Amino acid sequence: MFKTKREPLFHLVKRIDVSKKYAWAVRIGAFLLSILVCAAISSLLTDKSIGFFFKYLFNGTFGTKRTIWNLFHETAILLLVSIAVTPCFKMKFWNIGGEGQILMGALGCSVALVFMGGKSSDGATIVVSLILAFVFGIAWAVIPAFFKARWNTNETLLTLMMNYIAVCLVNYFIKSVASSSTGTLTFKDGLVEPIGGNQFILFIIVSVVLTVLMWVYLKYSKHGYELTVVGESENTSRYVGINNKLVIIRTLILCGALCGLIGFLLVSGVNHSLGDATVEGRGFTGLLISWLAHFNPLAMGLTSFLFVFIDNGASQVSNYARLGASYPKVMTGIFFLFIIATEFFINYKIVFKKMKLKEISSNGDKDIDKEVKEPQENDIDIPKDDNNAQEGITEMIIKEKI
Amino acid sequence: MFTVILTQAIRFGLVFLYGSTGEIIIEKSGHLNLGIPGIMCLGAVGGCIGANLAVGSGSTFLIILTGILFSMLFAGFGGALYGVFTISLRCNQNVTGLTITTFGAGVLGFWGSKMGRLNTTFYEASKSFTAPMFGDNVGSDWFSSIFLSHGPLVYLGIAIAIIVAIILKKTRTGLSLNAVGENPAVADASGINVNKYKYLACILGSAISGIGGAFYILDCTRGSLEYVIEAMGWLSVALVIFSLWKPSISILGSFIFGVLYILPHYIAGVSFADKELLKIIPYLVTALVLIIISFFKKRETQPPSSLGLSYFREDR
Amino acid sequence: MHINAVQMVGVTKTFGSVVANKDVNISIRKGEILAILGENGSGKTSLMNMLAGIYFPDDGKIFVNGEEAIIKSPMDAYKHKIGMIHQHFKLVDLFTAGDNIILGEEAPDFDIKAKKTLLKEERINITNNKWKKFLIDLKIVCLPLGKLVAKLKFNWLSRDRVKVVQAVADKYGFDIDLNKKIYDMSVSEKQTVEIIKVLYRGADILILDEPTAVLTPQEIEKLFVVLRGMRDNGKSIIIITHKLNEVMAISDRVSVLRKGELIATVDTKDTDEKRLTEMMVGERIELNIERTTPKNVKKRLSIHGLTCRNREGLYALNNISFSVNSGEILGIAGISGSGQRELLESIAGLQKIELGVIQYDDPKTEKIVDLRAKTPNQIKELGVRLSFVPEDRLGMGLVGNMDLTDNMMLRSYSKGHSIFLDRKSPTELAQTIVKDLEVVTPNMKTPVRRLSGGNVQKILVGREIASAPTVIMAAYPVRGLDINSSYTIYNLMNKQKENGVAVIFVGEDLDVLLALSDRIMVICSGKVSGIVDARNTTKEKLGMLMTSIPEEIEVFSEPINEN
Repeated sequence: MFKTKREPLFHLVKRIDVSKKYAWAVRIGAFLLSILVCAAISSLLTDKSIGFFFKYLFNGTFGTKRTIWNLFHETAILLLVSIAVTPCFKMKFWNIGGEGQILMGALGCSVALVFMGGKSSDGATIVVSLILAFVFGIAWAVIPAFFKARWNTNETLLTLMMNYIAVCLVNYFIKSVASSSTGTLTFKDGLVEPIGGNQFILFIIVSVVLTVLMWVYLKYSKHGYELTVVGESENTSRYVGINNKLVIIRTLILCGALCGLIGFLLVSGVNHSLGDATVEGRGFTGLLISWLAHFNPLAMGLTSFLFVFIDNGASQVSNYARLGASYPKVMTGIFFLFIIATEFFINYKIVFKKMKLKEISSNGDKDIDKEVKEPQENDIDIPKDDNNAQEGITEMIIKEKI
Repeated sequence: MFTVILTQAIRFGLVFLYGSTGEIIIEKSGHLNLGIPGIMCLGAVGGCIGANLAVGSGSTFLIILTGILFSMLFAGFGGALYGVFTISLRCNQNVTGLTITTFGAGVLGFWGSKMGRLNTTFYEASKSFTAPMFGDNVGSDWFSSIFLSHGPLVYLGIAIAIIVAIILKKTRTGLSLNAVGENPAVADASGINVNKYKYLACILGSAISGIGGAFYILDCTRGSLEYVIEAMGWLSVALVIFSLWKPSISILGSFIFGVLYILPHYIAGVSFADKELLKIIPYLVTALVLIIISFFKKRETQPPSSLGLSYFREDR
Repeated sequence: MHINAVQMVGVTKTFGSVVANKDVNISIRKGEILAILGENGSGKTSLMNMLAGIYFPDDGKIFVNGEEAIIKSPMDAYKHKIGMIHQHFKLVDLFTAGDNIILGEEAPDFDIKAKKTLLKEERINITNNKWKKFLIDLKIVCLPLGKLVAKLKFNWLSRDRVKVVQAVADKYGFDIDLNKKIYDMSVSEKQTVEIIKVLYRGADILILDEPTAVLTPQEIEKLFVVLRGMRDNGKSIIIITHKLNEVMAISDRVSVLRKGELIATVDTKDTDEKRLTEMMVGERIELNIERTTPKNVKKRLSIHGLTCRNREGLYALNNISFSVNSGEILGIAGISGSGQRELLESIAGLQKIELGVIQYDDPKTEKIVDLRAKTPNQIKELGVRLSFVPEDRLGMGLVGNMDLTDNMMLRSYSKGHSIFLDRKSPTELAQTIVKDLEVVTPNMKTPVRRLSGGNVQKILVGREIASAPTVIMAAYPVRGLDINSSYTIYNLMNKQKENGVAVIFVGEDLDVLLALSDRIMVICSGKVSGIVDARNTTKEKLGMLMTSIPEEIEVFSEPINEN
């Protein structure tokens, strides 16, 4: 009597050893693939050639001096947002409230501008608006941190709710000050002057400086070390005597302060106005970028750049092909989906098993058993080939009978 | 005046009800789907396309049927996408969800701008949706106008919420789904196909949410393409917490959210600013509910234990 | 002639390079209780996991009721009427006991074809009644509908859904409230739920993995009554244990495992505890560990009446008193989970203690420092140089994703007032450790989780020794290590002892404890069952102390040097 034994066709194994080269090859491959898919979809929707898509994609990003400045400016803003939320994520505190925290910073700044703008000196207004921006931003970050530390309140859901409370507060403020039904407040006095007449340069400088500082903070400061330990293992942090609650609140104060600063810069330095769309969803985009870049500042810069590249380029495509304002959103959505999917291929490998038929005699007699004994199975490991990583995303271990 | 507010509150609340019922199913399987706003947008696109296909036939029933089917199909596609990413590919749920929201809202905006904002065909189609289910002759007393003057999708939404509540509470299917969200390893050991449940929850839940999006365009706004569905999607996610992951409570909750949502439009003598303050209430109350349940730590009111975590049965 | 309910023939299972079971032949008869006896790591659980479908054997066969069975999943095991009650209960806390029991139950088969043929036969028999014929035709047509209805009816959770479960519980004499939520239940109630679940699923062969480990003596007695009742009902029961008295009390036969191999299977009535212990621990193996006589012995740590509870609210430590001296190694023996972890964590300031005194005699100031209810930071600030090598190396002692240098920093990073980290001295320390302890690592930047267990442990122990401690506590420091790495650790411990450090060594290998320690404290279910002179004791004696507390507790202490 013989029985057939089957094993599943394939199963997943967590990769322990991921080489950087391989990971980057997968990511870059995914980016290129996402661009191609975007191009294909666009040309299907518009009856225009793929060349048209690429022409205006580059035209909108590298076409003129202004678009290039804009590309870097937007990249800088986004990079700063992702930098701001990075310490939270590194601590495994899922703060998805960056949007609200920035908006509150913008609100704080606007409060100062409304009540002081034109009445006090510009210098004093700037200082007060910056301080208020910090206070508002920190308040919005510390509330969920406090409840998380004290009662373990779900921070994801709480920060999500607080985003919308912030939106409503901003609208409330706008309408109670402007007493009209327009959605935005514009400011004229007490603003940060553009550096050297170039309105883009401020954000780029601040962003580069803060990115470097954050990198130093996370890598070389005791605080950065502590929050990393808390994020990695709560047991270890307990073992070495780190006060987890203190670290959580302290880190969120930092995050809130940075978000407040971004809000201040957006209102006072860039937009010169306040509206519920001042942040333009960058709080969410920033967190996606921070997470996808594994909290590595350089990777964050690159991801922000690619995102803005697609966003701005797609805007240009949409202008010329009359695709509407939402078209870039679809394209960036596709971009993100591709990048997210790479995480899987970087962290897991698929092990295929060749279906094998194993003959098992159900006869319990040991002597016969020894004669029928199977030859040992051998695992053939195909070593990872970094240069071939793109084709070999699903690396296989073929298990078969010899 | 009062009747009008209550009537409209039920109507607008139904968008939240659809959204939250779907999201509850998904969250019960352990997946925090922040893509629901985007999925509702996809549902709206699907609903409009579907209803438009049948608008020529002139049959109310057919228009509604294709509308619902297509919205479920589109939204289900969004849910399946979310499922593939978070269940099979084990990507981070928050990241995937937010991306799907961007994508879905983008698709609605993109498609909407192609169709034109006030497309008369959708207005035609919406007539079938807004037509009172129980005919025009239900009377004009307050009871009839509040409860009996709605289009069929209002009653369908309530029916779905009740059915989902019953399934979750009174059937083995619901029990298994709960177990998957609470402790997938235990469910697995008990012989439940965890991934099957997760996929079904993601797809079905998304499909139900998607009807909400279609309902908003084809009933609430009478065919005018408006882009606030994303905001309504977030309110639906809030409603899930508000109703403590119970569809039965969310029927009442959706009505409260509906009142709060439309109230600012109806109160005279209130400044624009104060109307904005009123809009805070749903989010604020939800945040408070979240804090209070964490404060009391009562087991039954907590989010599903494995919410947000991927399940990976280690190779044995 | 007995019929074997289960027979395992030549079963072998390896995990990587570790052989968990080697060519094991084991059988259980119908209506008997078989005890599987063995020390920790002897392969009892992995062997039984192969029966329960958690692992799949590399080699060998399993026969159930004389027929070969291939068990790939817990569902397969259920189909062969095998159910296992794991040490860690698999229950949804939020559900009631009844719901947990029926969770995942499959609907009974609704065989349309069989019913159809049955109805057709009935139809043939009816000859004259047209009306009745029509009725049967209708029934046949409606069969799919019937299937649907049956399915829905099965799916419905009616209020009396626990009735059937209650019947099963009553049949075996379980006293349990099936409507109680799991999170409200005590450990023994949870265990009962697991047993009922397995019985309800129709298991004839029950495997219980250390079922008494979490129970009080009264609860154990109750469990045994239930188990005997089930045996008399014809069930086969396998009970995994290392408690000899229980083996004697409950089992019909005993199979003893040692280091993954079956030593013998004997009838319980033909053996006694002494012979079983000998089989379980084996011959004493002389290890090549150099042991020096303690010099300059002074009292360093004294613990009095230490008591604490675990998360379930049971006593993890119950009135523990002992002292540790400088220049000696105090071995701690005991079955794993007897309170070793809680004991060390209490001393390190990581465990909330209920009662008791922990005093430290500072060798510098000669003052007595109270360590009770202090956090690790406070202990550090008091100038107590306490090192702790926890059991969970990568989850507690080290951070797996960090490199060597950053792991070195865990202990020292907070020194000084600078807001920046000093990576220089940790890097040097890491290099020293790599060099001195021969740690094999690709480079200094490799995350430690990618190193082998032995190298990870060398890093951890090296770091803990580097802080020049006066007390070192090491929990299972050689678990999972190869022989060379183990010797490195033994030598390090010995060197510390010679330097006048008080060393607490929690171990599981009795040979090692006997060769390395100066004194051995044996703990049994959170209590001290004896402190013995390691030079004048036997493995058997330790084995006995591990499993039962004698009436008179021996306390051996080193002569203290009072100069």
